[in-house]
Amino acid sequence: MNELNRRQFLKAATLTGTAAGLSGLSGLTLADNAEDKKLILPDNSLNGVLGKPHMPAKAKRMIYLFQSGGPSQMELFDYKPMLNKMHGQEIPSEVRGDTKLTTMTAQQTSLPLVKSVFNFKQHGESGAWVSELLPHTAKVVDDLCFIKSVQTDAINHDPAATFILTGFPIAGRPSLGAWLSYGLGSNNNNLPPFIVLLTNQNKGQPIFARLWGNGFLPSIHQGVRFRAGKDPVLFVNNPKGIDRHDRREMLSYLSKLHGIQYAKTMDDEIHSRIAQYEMAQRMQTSVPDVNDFSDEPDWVFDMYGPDSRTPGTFAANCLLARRLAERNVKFTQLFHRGWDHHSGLPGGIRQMCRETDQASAALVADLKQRGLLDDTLVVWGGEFGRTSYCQGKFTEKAYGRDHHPNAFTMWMAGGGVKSGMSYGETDDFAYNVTKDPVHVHDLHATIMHLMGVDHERLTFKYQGRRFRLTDVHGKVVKDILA
Amino acid sequence: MDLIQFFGRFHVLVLHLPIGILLLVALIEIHTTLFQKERAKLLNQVWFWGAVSAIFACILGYMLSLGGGYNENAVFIHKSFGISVAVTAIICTLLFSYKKNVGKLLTSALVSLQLFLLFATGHYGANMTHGETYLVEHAPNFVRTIAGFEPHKAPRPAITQIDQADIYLDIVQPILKANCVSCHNDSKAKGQLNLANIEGIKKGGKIEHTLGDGKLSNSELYKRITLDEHDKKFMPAEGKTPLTDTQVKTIAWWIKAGAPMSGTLQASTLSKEDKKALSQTLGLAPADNAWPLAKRTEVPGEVIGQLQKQEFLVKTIASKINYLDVDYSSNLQAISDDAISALVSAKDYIAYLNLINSQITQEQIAEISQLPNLLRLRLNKTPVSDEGIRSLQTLPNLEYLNLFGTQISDSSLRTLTEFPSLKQVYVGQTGVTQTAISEIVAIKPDLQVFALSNKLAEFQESTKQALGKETKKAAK
Repeated sequence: MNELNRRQFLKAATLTGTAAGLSGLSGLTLADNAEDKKLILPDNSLNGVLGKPHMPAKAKRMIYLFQSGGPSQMELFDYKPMLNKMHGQEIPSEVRGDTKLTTMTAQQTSLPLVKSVFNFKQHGESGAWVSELLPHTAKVVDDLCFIKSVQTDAINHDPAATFILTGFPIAGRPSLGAWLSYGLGSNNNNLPPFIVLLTNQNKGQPIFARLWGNGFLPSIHQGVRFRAGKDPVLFVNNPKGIDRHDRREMLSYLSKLHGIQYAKTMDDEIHSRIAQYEMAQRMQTSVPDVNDFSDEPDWVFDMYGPDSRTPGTFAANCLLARRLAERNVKFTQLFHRGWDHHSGLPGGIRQMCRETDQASAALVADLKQRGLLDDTLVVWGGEFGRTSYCQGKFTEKAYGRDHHPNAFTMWMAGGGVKSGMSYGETDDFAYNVTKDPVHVHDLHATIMHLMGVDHERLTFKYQGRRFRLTDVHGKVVKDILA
Repeated sequence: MDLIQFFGRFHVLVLHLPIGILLLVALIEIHTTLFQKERAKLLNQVWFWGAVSAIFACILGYMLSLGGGYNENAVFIHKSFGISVAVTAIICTLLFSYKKNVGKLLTSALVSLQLFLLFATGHYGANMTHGETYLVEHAPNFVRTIAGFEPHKAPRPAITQIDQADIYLDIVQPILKANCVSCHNDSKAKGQLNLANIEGIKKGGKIEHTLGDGKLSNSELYKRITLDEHDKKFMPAEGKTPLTDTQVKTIAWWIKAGAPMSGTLQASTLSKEDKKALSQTLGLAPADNAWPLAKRTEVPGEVIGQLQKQEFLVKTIASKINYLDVDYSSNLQAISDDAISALVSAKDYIAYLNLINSQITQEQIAEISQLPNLLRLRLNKTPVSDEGIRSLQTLPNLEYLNLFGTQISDSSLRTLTEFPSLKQVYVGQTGVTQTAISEIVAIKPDLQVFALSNKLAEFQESTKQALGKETKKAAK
């Protein structure tokens, strides 16, 4: 009784009682019944609250290459020759309709269309259109599934990033990685199931730890940020003068004290705390191991590009993500900032592509040759797209584009997604979706499905109602499933 | 307001009284006569109340019949029997009450008549409410034959080839029966649509164009089964299981084919996609993404416990798919013989096995070949040799084998062609040569052999260029 509080006890008793009474089943474990948390103690955390996936997981791991700022789909993947024809003309009002604009361009007296200054070509057997900015991504298009019709609800960075990473535009909900950790647990007891890697950069939109936060889920499910450099996870190493043995002793006593406290308060967060201390100790060896690239041959660095030897670059993080995938880390989330090109777009986007193109493509190719792409889902994309009309003044070589939530492009690869595919279509102006829209909720439902979770059945009861990542929305995009 | 109907409906309540009372008294009379027991006087009162209740039942029944809605013939038969019951009960009451020593023969005859009339009345009454077929619906064939009904239809013979399938009987009818007929049948036709028989389907429902004209967009039925599941108009209506993708595809094919109600499939005229969907519907092809192994009962807790004791990370594949995903890779240490024997004792349950970094020995690999249900095996970065690969070739279900970064050579690749189910193999960073791969792919085209990425050179070239530019800049 010490381990369960009154509600938990009553609930467990009712559940087993009912089940036994109705069907005479024995051996019904609490974990199988407890859809909404609580009955699970940390010992089972490796299998998550679900115990086992709802259906066989096509993807056992996921790597999300988040491109913060809103990459322009017209410069990268969504080729629109109509923009060349109508370059400089006003965007037709029937195209614009009553879509909302940001305050930055709402006052603009003219909204002239601008063509992309970059050349497009079709690549691979699938004939996917990719611009000259992404020569490496172009090489692996036959392994990718482009979704050209992603739609989001928010038009500004923070709500849009919060929405695509947590399923809700207002802060406070658990992030995608936290939900996966909560539902499915971990595949490696020595590393956290949810790891976050940020590119070291001082430009771009600010991002916050709540984008990989646990919201109302137990805090053990929050993403753990690895930093570039000597001390990837802060405060994991023993303080000076304390050796491993002392540390172990201390943790054992601390755990006893926590036990006493738990018996008094019944606060589940104590379990999280115990588990986090234990994980931290295991990470004293596992984190240096995964961050030590000295066992990677030169040809691997050549694959990811020259940056990959510099810790904290996007390329080095891609390589690290592959190393984490090899160690079965469930969810690795990369952040790369600086795609927010309101002005000076051509130069800006060229720089961004130089920083990310080779490493992103190399990650896909590397996972493939190692037999990991099969069960690793790679997702690339930002929080929204950009407008086909110009923000500010445009010249032959310089122009800018504003935020555009109604249609943008993302790609997925591996993990049970069709390869060499392009899904969804936009109109001639890359402004509205004309075929197969994929809302952010649908994207989440699909990702969950690939990971073996029915998004309608992974819930958490909080403040009197059951929450889920997709809230009351979301439809699995069946057409892109392999 | 119709008081007659109001009271009439009490018939269905009151009718049970004479059945109970008269049945009881009749049985006791028979018992007394047969076993020569002393006849209790109380029985006369029971007969009396039996008669009274029978009369009431008759009156109420007559009132109910005035409301109409029943087949006249059926009412006549039931009424006649019902009145006879009451009359016989009255005769019995009078006879037994006023005549001492009624003869055995007469008693037996009267009581038997009473019982017969009682059952007959009950039966014809029940037929009126439940329908004539109710009683024999699930009867064995000989009972149905005696009762004058057609014997049950024999189940359709199992289809073994797609050409044998009758379009309506084998394909369309089973789907409709499983998903639609419970609400769209002869007696309950929601939306005036009856999908239980060909005439009903052809006639369609309240909304026109149930099937449409061969175009999916014109078919109300197709529209309803493909709406958003949360839509009010989605069919099957709220709470019932939606049609599977295969079933929807099958219905789509049928509607596009003009909704034929007879004839057999012509395999040659089908598109590849349609053929696949129809084969799946007929059970001739496995469903998409079906789990490739046989169904098993739940994995015993001890099996999982044993593996966990040996430091394996164990996961069940999914709920209802009782196979295990077993992982040793995060231990970063040599695998022990005890751990291998734990694997062997759990052999029937293991579908995925990850032994990366396990330093597995030749003898230990030979043990792995006893895992009959192994689908995926990762041996990356282990000392596995060509000999080790040979000992694995008896694995009947192995589809995926990862040998990245091992010591194997071209001779292993030839062994791999002998694996019965192998579909994917990874041989990057091994002694395997590109020539050998090309040879194998020519022999076994459905085996995918993954060497190091063929984009490698381009990636390296680009890195070289970038580095070159940087050095130039630095030099300037």
